[in-house]
Amino acid sequence: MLTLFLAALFGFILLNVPIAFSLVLTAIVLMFFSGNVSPALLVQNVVRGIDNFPLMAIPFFLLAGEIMNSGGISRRIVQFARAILGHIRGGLGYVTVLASMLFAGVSGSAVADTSAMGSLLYPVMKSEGYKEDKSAALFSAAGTIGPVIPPSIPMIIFGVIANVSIVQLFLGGIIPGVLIGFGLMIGWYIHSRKAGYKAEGRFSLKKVIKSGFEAFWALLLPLIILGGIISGIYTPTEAAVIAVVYAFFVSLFIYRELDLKKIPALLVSTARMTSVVLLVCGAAMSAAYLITTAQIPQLMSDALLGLAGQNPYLLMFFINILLLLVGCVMDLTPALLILGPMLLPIAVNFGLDPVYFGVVMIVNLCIGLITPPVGNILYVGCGISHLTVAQLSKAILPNILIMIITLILITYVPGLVMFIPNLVK
Amino acid sequence: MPGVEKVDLIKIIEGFLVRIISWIIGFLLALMVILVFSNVIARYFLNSALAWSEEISRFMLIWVAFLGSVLAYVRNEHLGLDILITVLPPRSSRVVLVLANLLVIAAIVILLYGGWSITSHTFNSGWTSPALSIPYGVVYMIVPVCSLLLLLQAFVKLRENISVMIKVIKGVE
Repeated sequence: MLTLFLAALFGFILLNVPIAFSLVLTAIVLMFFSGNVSPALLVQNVVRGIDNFPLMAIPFFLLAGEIMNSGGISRRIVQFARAILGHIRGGLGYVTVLASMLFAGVSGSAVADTSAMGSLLYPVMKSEGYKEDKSAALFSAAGTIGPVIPPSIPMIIFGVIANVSIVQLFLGGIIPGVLIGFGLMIGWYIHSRKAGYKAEGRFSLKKVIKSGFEAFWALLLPLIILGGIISGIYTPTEAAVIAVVYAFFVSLFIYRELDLKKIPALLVSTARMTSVVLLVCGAAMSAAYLITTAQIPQLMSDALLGLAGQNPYLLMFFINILLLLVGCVMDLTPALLILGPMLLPIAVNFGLDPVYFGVVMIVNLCIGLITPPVGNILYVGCGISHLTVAQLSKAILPNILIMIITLILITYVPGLVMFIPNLVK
Repeated sequence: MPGVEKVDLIKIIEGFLVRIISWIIGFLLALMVILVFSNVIARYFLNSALAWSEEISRFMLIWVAFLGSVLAYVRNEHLGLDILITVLPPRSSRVVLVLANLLVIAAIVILLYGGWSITSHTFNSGWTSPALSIPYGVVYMIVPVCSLLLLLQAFVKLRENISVMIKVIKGVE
């Protein structure tokens, strides 16, 4: 059954059948072999998979991000980061990472983070004489912090499909996200020394205060989102809708940069992006139902038990390798949806915390966003910088290495993930 | 040539449907924002949650998901893996594309059939939602409707794929 499932699913996917449809076909194949073919049940499970209030946070967070980009909020975050770090040698690199981390606190998607920060900062870096490939490699890698630092769309998906607290996952992502940011800054420091970038301008407290004041409403948003979720005042979905309304009002009435005529287009593109994610979500959940009834996690668990014995560290080693390989060819969302429900029961069998496992899995698959040949963020980076995939893939290697080191760190020091969630529990 | 006119007609219908669906999903998403936000306000400032608001916005999410899938399919935006296509020589990759297209049609037919039976089943059983008493058939109805639209689009793509495949195969020989 396990072989059949994997062969069918990956066979369809390899043949270039979109993943949502591959899952539907796989579900039917599984039904056929278990002797109970019911397309009606399948459709019912797809719809049930989508019919989830927490999932509504996905379009809301996406929409909030789009409004922030066209309403001048993202630009003010960048200006603030520039006032703080812009004067150091290679300063714009640190600005990119810091601004990406700040933006990650309001957006839940790597694509939103990368395209916002890349399109704002890359042209400046280029005109100031920074190496093009290294600059693009930096903003692309920094963009993957988007779904690690809360809010996070992948964490919402994992929380829903694996029935794990989304709030706890959010909290677990904070330290790993900051670690990746620091790691990338260290990598940039080494590069800046080697490339001999010069320091420009001088630090001015006046500028920090001025830009901080201008960015005040933008910087307040992460606090509103996270503060409200952590204190339990509202759910992630409610926080997301508050973010939409807040971003709308700030960019319309305070910054006065939002063009109302653009709103319908923003709504439609957000709805389209959402439906792509949700269709895979629904199809994966209907397949997940069959996966569980066919006892596939049990079968995989037995196979892994043979490999890893009873050792959870060894298990995580194998799972991390598997996910890194899958991440090279598959996008974060489908990988998470297909492998999440299969691997989590195994991890729980080995006595691992679901929150820890979810965060490690998401950080791992975020690395997959920038690994060739298939990496969503790699493509976004190429789109913004007009470099080829080959050029960017080469320049981004050190950043991949930095992220893998961070991954090893959070895998083997679970306290890094669990410290904040345990504080709030 | 009558063939040329036919192609244009299909494109016109396609463009028309895309416009209508875009309007509907944009409108539904805006409505969802308003509904969920009003619910937050109602709960924290007026101390009374609106149960119907969550229910109807969830149903809207289902509609947005399926309607948006049609648009995403027209624009080839669905998540997939094209690694085999890029590695294979042009002739075989064209054959694979047609094969994938046929498999997509199979998946859509399953959704269409399943969607149709669950819709008629829930309509007949008179099963309604708890807060607003909306018949579940209305909610499920979106599946067969969108599957039908997807199917039409899949056949348009199939025709293109087959004609390109034939051209490529003939061109190589």
